[in-house]
Amino acid sequence: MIKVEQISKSVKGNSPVANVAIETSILKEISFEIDRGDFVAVMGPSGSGKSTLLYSVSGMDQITAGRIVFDGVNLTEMNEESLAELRLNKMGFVFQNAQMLKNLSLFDNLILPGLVAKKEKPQVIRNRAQDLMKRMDIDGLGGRDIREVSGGQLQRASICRAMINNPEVLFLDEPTGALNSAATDQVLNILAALNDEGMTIMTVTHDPRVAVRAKKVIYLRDGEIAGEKELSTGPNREQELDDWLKCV
Amino acid sequence: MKLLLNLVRKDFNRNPAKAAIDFNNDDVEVYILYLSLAEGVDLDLKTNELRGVLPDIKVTPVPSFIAQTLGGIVDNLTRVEAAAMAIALLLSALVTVMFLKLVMAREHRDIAMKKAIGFTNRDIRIQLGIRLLVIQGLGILIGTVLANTLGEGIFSLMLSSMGATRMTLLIQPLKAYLICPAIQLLVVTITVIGGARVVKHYHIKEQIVE
Repeated sequence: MIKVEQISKSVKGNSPVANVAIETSILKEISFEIDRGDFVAVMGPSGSGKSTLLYSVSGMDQITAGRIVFDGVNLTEMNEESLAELRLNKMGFVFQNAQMLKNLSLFDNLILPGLVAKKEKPQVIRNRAQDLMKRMDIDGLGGRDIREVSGGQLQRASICRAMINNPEVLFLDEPTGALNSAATDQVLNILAALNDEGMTIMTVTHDPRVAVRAKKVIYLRDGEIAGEKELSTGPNREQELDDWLKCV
Repeated sequence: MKLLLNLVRKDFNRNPAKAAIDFNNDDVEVYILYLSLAEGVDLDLKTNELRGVLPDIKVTPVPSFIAQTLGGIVDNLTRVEAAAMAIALLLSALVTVMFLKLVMAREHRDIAMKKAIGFTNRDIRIQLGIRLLVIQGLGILIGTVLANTLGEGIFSLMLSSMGATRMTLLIQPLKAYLICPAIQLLVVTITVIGGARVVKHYHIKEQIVE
């Protein structure tokens, strides 16, 4: 479904020591594939390029070399308008700090991408939003201001918004980074359920509790893939991941 | 040709006692008589005709008369009007740019988020444009009404120090209420369209992760 072929990204800046221009590599010739229905977790220390990789694969960040092919289409050759259309119709995004528009109610935030896509009647989109909210256990909060709900509820609302146009893939950037333990478990259960239903998921995380729910874990270090691990479906996944993380 | 004066009420000094003209040639230097031409009469032709039949009288069309007597003031006021319009348009563009920058600085994260969830740059530009045009349009509307009501008093006050005790602004409705606001709105629209193009340079990741 998604083919990442030898992608690199570098940024130009000034050296803090000498006043000379330097080029810093953030991603170095990274390649991997995500199949339909996959659940991929990208782990690694801070500054290893995890978020850059996620934003690049989703077409929100530009790479300097390589190709990203989504459903047979090369994202690196698409213009900004086509990428926006792709993000609207085929991709869903959940950010670390649930990004919502402050001047809209929670419900209006959820249905916004559906209304922008104009693929379905507004009533159909509203009904789907209600169903999603019920499923995420936040029904009844729709009329609230986004400042009147907890971080966990807001993050679940973000997942609803990401799902409103029935995307093919869900991208998540540290989805549980700002949540407490109980809220983290709720979000993870929802993600696991979505994946069981066939949703393709790619997430960036520091948290092994998130990674252990994935089918495949990619470990980045200094912009390079330090290791890739397919997790088994057995009960020892946690130990398996833990052991792998120790030696990767 | 016979010139018949059937009613003369020229109040030179706002003195009712002088409401009638004294035709004693020893007492006056000049008589000024205004003629109103009937509808459709050509001013130049009539002027030439009167000059022909009244060789001892100076016949001057009113526009030329005004140009000769008040030409300097008219020219200055025309320049003031043009400068005021140019300044108003520049200020409109400046205020629009400042307002646009303010909105975009305050909402940079929202703009990036909208791009992330699938809004095109065009969608965001249209949204920004509508908001700004509604606000600026209201401002122009209120400004137009105030200028055409309080403007005369303020203008008179400004010119009172120059000796003009009272200024009467002749408001041309078409120009004052339609053409000028429309030009101002056009300038605002062009500024918004140009200014909002910067949205395409908004980097989603930088704005959201920041």
